Parts: sequence; structure tokens; C-alpha cells
Amino acid sequence: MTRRRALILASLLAFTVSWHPAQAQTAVSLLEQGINAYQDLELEAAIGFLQGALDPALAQQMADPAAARVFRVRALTYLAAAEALRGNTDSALAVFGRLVRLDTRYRPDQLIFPPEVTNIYDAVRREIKVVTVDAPQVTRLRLGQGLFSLKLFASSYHDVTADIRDRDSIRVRSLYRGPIVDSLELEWDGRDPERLVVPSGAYDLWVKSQDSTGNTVRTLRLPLDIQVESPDTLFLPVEPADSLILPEQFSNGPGVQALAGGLLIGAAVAVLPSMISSTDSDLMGGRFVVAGTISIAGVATFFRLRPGKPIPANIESNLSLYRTWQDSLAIVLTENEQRKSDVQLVIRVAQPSAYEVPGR
Amino acid sequence: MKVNRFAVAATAVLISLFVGGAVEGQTGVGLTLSLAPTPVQVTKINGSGDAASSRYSGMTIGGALAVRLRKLRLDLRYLEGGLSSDADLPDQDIVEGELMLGFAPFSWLVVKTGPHIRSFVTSQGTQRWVFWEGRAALGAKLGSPNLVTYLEAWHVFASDVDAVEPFGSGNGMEAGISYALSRLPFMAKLAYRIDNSSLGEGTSSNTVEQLVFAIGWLLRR
Repeated sequence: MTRRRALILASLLAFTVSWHPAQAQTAVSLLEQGINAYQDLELEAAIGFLQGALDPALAQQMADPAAARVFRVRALTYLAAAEALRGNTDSALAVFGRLVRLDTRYRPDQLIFPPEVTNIYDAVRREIKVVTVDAPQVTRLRLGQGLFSLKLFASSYHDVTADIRDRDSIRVRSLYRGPIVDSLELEWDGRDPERLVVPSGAYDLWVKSQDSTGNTVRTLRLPLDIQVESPDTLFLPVEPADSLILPEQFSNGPGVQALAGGLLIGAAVAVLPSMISSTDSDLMGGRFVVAGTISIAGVATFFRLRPGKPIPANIESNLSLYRTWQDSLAIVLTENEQRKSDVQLVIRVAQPSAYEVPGR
Repeated sequence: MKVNRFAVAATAVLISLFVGGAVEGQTGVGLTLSLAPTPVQVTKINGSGDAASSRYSGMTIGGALAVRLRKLRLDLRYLEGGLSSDADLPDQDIVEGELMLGFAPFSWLVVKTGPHIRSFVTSQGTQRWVFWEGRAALGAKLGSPNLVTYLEAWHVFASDVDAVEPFGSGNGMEAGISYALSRLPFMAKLAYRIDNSSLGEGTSSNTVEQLVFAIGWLLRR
């Protein structure tokens, strides 16, 4: 590698690595310069630096959302204070309004900022009806054993409504209607008013802030992705097929067939030999023994299998088969009930967004 | 005697109507080997009138092998023994064997054909009868596949005999009952068997009767 090519490569690498930190450093640097100017009472310059620090193009360079939020809160506070001290009350009100909407829990440090600044902030906070929400990113709850918890923080006392709605804005469950003073904890069990588990899908938590006349002045929307997870239930065991059920009584068939077969073949043994040969025989007795045996066997079988006579072995076998099926059915039903009750809800929360009602 | 063939056929049809399907479960593979002491009586008629008839009786011993392979059957049978005359005629021996190949179109019906050879042995010589027979056997299950009764009838459609006169006709039947033990590979059979064969116009004939008590070994699959 030639020296020239190595130099170009090193320059490109240095440029790539240093680009974003340099931008972030610029925003932080502007904030520090703005604070220094504020502390030196160079309010005009402070406002300039701080407005520069709040430039969205620079703020977007900050990768960490929490750090960016702290940065913005700090910059807005100093900017509002500089505007207030400079006598630009309207500008101070507007900046503090942005600050309250950004973080309802924030309070300017009274050791750093003079009362004329904190008083303006308090006035803005009282005037603006805003809530912010704090919810876990992911909540896993087993149905009946846990709740989805979230906390609302209000800028000031006002009435709010909190509803879970589906993506068609149809209310699924109302969580709260009433006043909020400072904060409010909401809980939801994942069910609708009919105690049914909501189906998987996309939902929103809508928190509407109302003014003293009951009109909605601001709506906070927190997207919720809900997945209902339940184990598959087992197939119910099939009732024993008719083909497996043994007859519990003798039908006409076997007994009558045995009787007819035995008698006819017995008669044939008695009669047919005389058609074959006309000679007298000393084995005649033996022949009739055979004929009688066959006939008696047929008759005995008929009585043993007479139509309608219960078949205990088959009855017992059928009962056993049925009991086995019932036992396995009971086991599966119990298991399925357990599985059905073992429903888990996974609730994922996205970034909230807010809508101001114009003119209020 | 002329056999009333119509009566035999009508009886067979009647039996088949009642025993049809009664021996289900008899298909598959099976083998039966049986040994039987068999009382035998032979009545020989030469010419007409009682004076011309002679009767021999005695005990024989025999064996049979029956092989069943799905719808096919193979039956082998052999017996031999000595016969004594009721009159003062010389004793003679009987030796008999048959080989039948059968086919069972239905579980209750088997049709068979094959040679059946019988020899009467005396000190003067041996008279051998060779019959080519066609048989039909009907089976009836008596409530259980283990207890079966059957009727087998046959007709001789060709014969070769060491005699001056030509062969005339021949018919026979066997009927019996057999019982196979459920848990042991043994069976027992009681049967009666008779056949008649005549020469020429029927003036000379042999009637052979047998009472079979067989005990056998049975292999079922």
C-alpha cells in the first residue's frame, strides 16, 4: 500500500467516526454557552445560544432519548428563564408551555432560578391541562394473576378520561373517568367489560384532558400491541366407534344358523348314505352317532346363543371400552380447562403521541 | 343302486342356504395334521342277490394333512389296515390315499379335485382303484369358529380299475364335526364317510364306510 493511499484511507475513517459526535458536541456546546451567557446576564446571547441548541436538526443527532429529553428540559428552562428576565413574558410562557408538555413532573430549581421565573412556570403549569404517561415497555401478565399498570402524571388538577380503544377508535374498556391531581395509577386486566379477554391486535390508550367546562383540550395516545398467548388445547378423544361396540345380545343369526346347520347336516348324515349305497352296514350305529352329535351340537349352540340372550363378556368389554373413553375424556377436559385458563397477555408499548385541540 | 342326484343337489343347496357365511374366519393360513384309528367296513357285491355280496370289516390307522393358504386348500389323506371277511373268505388289506387340491370361493364352500387311490391287497394279488373326483364341501360354524360341522360330497368323473369290467360310477360323502381348542393347538374330529363305486352296469360294486375319530395338531395364523 502506498503512503498516499494509506493517508486517504485514514482521512476517510477519521471523517466517518467523528461526524455524529461532532454534531452532538455542537448542541451540548451551545447549551453550555447559553447557560454561561445566562449566568453572566447576557440574556440576548443566551437566548441565541439556547435557541440554537434546541434546533431540531441538532437535537436529532442525540442517540439516547433519555439524554435528549434531559437536554431539552434543561435548554427550555434556561431559555424560558432568559426570556422572562429579559421581559419577554409571552415568549417565556410559550417556552414553559413546551416544557410542561414535555415533562409534567419537572420543576425548575428554586435555588437556581429566581421567583419571577418559577412563578411564571407555576402559572403555566396551572393553566395547561396536560398528562404524560409512564408505562413499562413490555408487560407479560397471566390472566387472572396480574395487571397491566401504568402511571399518569398531570401538569395540574383537571379531569381526564382514560380508555382502551381498538384501531377503529371503538372503546374496548374504560379505565378511568375523573380528576387527576398530581399522578394517577391505572390498571387493566386485559378484559373487556364483559370479562372477556380482548383478542390479539393493535390498541391504544387514549387519555383525554378536559378543561373546567368538560371540553377535551388534549388527547394523549399510547399505542399498545397486545398478543394473547394461550397453549393449544388437546383434541377430545373420539367416542368409541360403533364398529368397536360388541353386540350385547345374541342376534337371530348365529343361533339359528347353528341350529339349521346342525340339524340339516345331521339329517344329511342320516339320509344321504342310503342314497349312495343300499347295502346294510354294521357301521350304521356309528353313522347315527355322528348324525346325533352334529344335531345335538347345533341344538345346544342354538340354546347357548339363543336370540336376545345377554352376552356378559361383550357387555363387560363395552363397559370397559366406554369407561376408558370417559376417563381419557375427563383427563383431556381437565387439561384443556387448565390450558384455557393459562392465558398470557403480552402488552408492548410504543412511543406516545399527543394532539392538542386547536383554540383551547 | 342309482344315486338320486337331484335329492343330493337339493340337500346341498338347502344346507348352503343355512350355513352360508357361517365359517368366517377360516381363511388365512392353517395346517392340520391328524391321526385317526378308523373302523372300516367294505361291502363287495359281485352279481345280483345277497349271496353274491361279501362284507369285510376291520380297523385301520391313518393320517391326514390339510393345508390352508387363504382361499387355497391342499388335503392329503392316507390309511391302511387289515380287513376280515364275515364269511370264510381270505382276509385282505386295504390301503388308501388321496390328494385333493381345493379352492374356497366363499368361506363356507370349498370345491376340490384330485386323485383318490384305493387298493385291496390279497394273497392272490392287488386290485387298485384310481378315482378322479370332484368334491364340494360345505361348512357350518356352530356359534364359534372352533366348532364346525361339515358335509362333503363327491362324484367320480374318471377312474382306472384293475378289473375285467369297465368302471361304472362312483359317489361318496363325508360328514362330521370338528372342535379346535381355543388356547391349545389341538383339534378333534368325529366323522362318518361312505363311498360307493361300481363296475359296468352296477352289478358289481364296492361300498366302503369309515368312522373317523381323529385327533390333530392345528396351526393357525
